[in-house]
Amino acid sequence: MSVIPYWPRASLCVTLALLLAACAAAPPPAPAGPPPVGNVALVATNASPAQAQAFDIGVLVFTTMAGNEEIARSGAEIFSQIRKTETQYLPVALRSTLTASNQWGVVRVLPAADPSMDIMVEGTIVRSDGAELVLHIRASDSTGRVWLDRDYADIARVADYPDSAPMLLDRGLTFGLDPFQDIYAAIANDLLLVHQGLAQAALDEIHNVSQLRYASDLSPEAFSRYLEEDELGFLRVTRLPASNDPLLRNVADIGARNDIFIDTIDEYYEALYQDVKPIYDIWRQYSFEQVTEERASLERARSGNSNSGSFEAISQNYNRYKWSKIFEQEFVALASGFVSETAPAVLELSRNVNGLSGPVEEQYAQWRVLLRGLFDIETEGLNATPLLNTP
Amino acid sequence: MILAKRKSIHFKPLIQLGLVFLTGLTLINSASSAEDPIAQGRSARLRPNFEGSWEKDFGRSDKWDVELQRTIDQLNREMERSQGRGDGGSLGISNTRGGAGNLISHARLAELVTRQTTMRIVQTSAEVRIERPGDAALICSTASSDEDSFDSPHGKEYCGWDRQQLVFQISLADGVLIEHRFSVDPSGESLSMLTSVSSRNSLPFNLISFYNAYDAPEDGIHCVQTLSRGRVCSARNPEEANR
Repeated sequence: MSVIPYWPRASLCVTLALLLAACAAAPPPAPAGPPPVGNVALVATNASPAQAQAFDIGVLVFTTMAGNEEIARSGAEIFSQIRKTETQYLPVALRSTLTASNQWGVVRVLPAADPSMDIMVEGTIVRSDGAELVLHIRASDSTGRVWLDRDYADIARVADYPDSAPMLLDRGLTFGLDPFQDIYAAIANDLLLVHQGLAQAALDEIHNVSQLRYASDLSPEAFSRYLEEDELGFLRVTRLPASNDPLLRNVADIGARNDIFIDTIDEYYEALYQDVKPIYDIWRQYSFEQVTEERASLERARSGNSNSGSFEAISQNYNRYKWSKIFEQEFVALASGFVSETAPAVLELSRNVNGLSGPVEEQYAQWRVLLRGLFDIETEGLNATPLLNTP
Repeated sequence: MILAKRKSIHFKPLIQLGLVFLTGLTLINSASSAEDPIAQGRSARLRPNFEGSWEKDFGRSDKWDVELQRTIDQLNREMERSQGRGDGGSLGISNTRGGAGNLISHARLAELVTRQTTMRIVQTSAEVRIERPGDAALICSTASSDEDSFDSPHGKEYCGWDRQQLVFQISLADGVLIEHRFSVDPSGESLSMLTSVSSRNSLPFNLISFYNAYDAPEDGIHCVQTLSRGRVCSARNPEEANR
């Protein structure tokens, strides 16, 4: 008898699965996570803060923490592409909410941390399936003080989606409010709470550190001496350069050009968001329906099957299995449709900006190097030791 | 091979011992072949070709009710024989009425899952995809590694290769196990599918379906799934359709 190369291992697995199935007839409990944020009203104001006092916020492109179940499911590659698009899409939703609150200065989505920002917000997508969104948010100011470092969860309701997923003949036909708007409002409100809890001196210190940190990034030899770490590891200003310092003026000039570049990058993320939104809305609704159908199906499985072993019971079980598989296979096909339809928008994000090339992250790094070079040229001949002010 | 599988209904302790021994031997061999990438690559290349459109050959295929009756008769004979020997009729199956009920349920389920009269199989160097009208596609990698091809709270599906046979095992949440074993004859004109339905308290109920290759008419329509416009179809030009 010739030897079978593969099958016994699978047979063992199936035998084990059969043994386990008896113990695990009840479906596994839903993964534990943070409590949902519930209904959250964004704390907004009509009066914008004075420009000089307003904190600028950089929202970094999110990272992802794909769950094992996503990696294991079929079409994992397609799902990972969708998640990658989400890492660029969701920060724009958070940025728009922060802007809508009118509590902050400039809020921009960035591919990498920028030293000119007063606050940087980093996000990790823990779970996103249309029914639930879980984000880990870490926000810190320029001194290094952590403002937020926690998970946020939001659960979508049926009412958050239209009655049926629209087939978009008209691209204008998209959902109004994001089904997870509450999560962004909760993050924005929490940031505001921390801001309101800080004394004016601390807020001024953050502003000063941001400016000097940016200056130091352009010219470490000229400006790094103005900053030091305190005993807790936070940056603080040792002394301020004179307000009429010509080097500082150059920093401001370069900073203005940097702002334009950052605005351009941010516009690209905004364009990606607008392009992807109609497709993403539909995708998310399909995903929501799949998740809710699966839950309902599990519930039916739990409550039914009184006459286990009968043909009716086992054929019902087979049908549930069959439909969950058909649904998943269709879901993979839809995911594939999502990826192909959003590909042009994603490609557009990486198009060349101001003669720079490569993915947007690389262009951003190139730009930083370019600015440093520009600063060196413009400050050539100026005294490298700036005028001093006592703090 | 198929007949050998069917005879497995008559498991006897000696045969079972033999199977345990063979399983051990196979595990040793699979461990050594797993270390041999050349052997793996070769085995992947030598997969039989299941590609094509297939229609059921009702003349050669088992009829589930006939097969059920044959199995029940066989079990009765076995029980009578073993009662005559006074060993209590140990057939590895519950002798209760429930055990017989399971066999009938399994036979009906076997009929349900083999009801399709046609199949379309698409085979690439990476995977075999068996599309069955009204049921989920069975998809398996052509690589030699074992694979958990689908997993849901309602059941798990494993697939793999047993020499020249492509095997899918579906274990439903209630403990029912469905196995599909596909073989194709060397001419590529005939395909067989042995479907086996079992559970912990019963012997498997086996049903063999035969399929013949046929030329499915080209519909000349090419469809692509999109999210925003649903399924978008366009007419293929004749050259493309014949390709």
